[in-house]
Amino acid sequence: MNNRKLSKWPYIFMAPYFICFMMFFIYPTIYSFVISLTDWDSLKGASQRKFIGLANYVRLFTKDKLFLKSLGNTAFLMIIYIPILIILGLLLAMLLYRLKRTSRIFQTVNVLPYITTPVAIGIIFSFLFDWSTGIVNTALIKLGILETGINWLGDGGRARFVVILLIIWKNLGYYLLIYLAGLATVPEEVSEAAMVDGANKLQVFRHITLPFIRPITVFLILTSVVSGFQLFDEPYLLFSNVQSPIGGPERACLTSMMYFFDQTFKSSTHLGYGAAVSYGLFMIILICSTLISKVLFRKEKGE
Amino acid sequence: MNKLKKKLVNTGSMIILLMISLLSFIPFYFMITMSTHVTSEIYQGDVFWFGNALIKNVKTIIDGGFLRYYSNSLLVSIGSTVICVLFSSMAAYGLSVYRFPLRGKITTFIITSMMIPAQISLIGYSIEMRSLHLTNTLLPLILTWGASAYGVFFMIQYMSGSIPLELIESGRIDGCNELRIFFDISMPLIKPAIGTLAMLVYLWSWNNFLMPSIMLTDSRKFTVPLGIQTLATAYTQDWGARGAALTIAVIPILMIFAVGSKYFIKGLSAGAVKG
Repeated sequence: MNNRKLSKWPYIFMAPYFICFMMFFIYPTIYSFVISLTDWDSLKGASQRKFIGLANYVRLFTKDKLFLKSLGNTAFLMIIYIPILIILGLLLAMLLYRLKRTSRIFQTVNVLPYITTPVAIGIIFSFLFDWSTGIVNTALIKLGILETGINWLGDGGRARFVVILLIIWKNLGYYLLIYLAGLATVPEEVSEAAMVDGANKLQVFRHITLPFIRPITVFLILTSVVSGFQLFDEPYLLFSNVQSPIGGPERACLTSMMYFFDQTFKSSTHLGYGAAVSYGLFMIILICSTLISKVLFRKEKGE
Repeated sequence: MNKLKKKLVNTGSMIILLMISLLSFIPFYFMITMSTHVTSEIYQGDVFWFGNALIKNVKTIIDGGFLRYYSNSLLVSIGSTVICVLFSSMAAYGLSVYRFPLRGKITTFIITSMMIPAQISLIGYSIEMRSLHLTNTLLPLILTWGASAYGVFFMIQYMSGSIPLELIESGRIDGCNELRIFFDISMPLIKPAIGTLAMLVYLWSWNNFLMPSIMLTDSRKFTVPLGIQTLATAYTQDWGARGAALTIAVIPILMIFAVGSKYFIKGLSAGAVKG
């Protein structure tokens, strides 16, 4: 009866969000793309803007060695830390799942790094691994393992090691949490029935637990790859105390987001090219996540 | 025998978990001890226990303008939280309670847009804000939260099971208008979701570094993460002051988390288990 009277209400409820969504998300997203087709130095006015078509993208993917290096760096870091996080996270979740009563405290303590301001984490680690004053060196020397301190952040390989350690330290609690929630969805009757039928614990784990939490693993891998390509705050701040170009020694820890930020707002101000970097990165993310989900879902079908 | 074995396994896993938790906590411990020492003590490797320079270090960073960063961050986080929770729950309500032609398409569109990383809009957004004369104000950091696709997604997920349509209908029969039904009948039903989303948004906007470092150049408008960076570069030689800055920046978030950890944990794992 009052359908007509009601028909304006959903639009009224959606209006505030939608106005914001259009103004502060859709419009700037499209605008960025338009900018990426131009040659525009933000120090000069908008009148100096020149339309150059896809030239920025051509330069980005064929000539820009530093961008390709940043992609390689980011991929290298992810290939190491994602498997470690998946395996450690699952193992810890399984340990914690058995201890039902104390679970909450452990969860809370281990998620602390995940919710801490990333900028602060970058600086804390730059202090822990500082060459002359850092705790890590001091402790290793006091314990007699080292005679003189290691310059952790002064060498490309070691700097990468510190970044990987930082990421694992920060995210392990989150993986633990997600897997814990996932384990709760595995029905206990199924694994108990299998045990009665003579399956051992390893078999139950392989054939019951793992398949059940598979969607969670897929989710974690996909979101980690997407957020991994956007890694910025922690490595950016980690080297704030070291005299080095952006990205640390040999630029070994230059992530793609750091490169984007540096190109657009710091060492150069070419908005057009910067926008192309961000869209190029987005394309890479899209391709990677499509490929990964294809591979993971095909495997699922094959089983 | 079996019982003994079980006990051993339990103790073993307890020890492993304790060690991991210790590792999670150690960097925070050194952050705090660092804030209680003067730099010369830190250079001598004296940070394994607390010193007594905390007040001096806190004074240094307050003189460096830290309180202003703090109040800016509070404003931004509270503003972002209010705008995000209010707009997202209104939009989600419109999308889940009413039936209208484009409903499904709009929902899919919003949820799909979550895949687009926010960084893509950053350059366009910064120029948009510049032409609106909003650079070096706190508004750009808040406004973007009114457009959070995640907020709408989160609220739709929760509402689909927890607002009975009969209740809304009976409200209508009693003569309430739609706004009153939303604020007085529906909002109380989704309180847990509001709490969780509010905490997540507060956390994300408090921690945000990239957006403020692009939008703000005037140090009087800096938020805490920018402030930490500024102080860290200004006091390169004063490790004690840097430690104090970090401690003061991090502690409130940790405390909010400790109090609301139940909701937080639910919120963080919400997307994964349902999806």
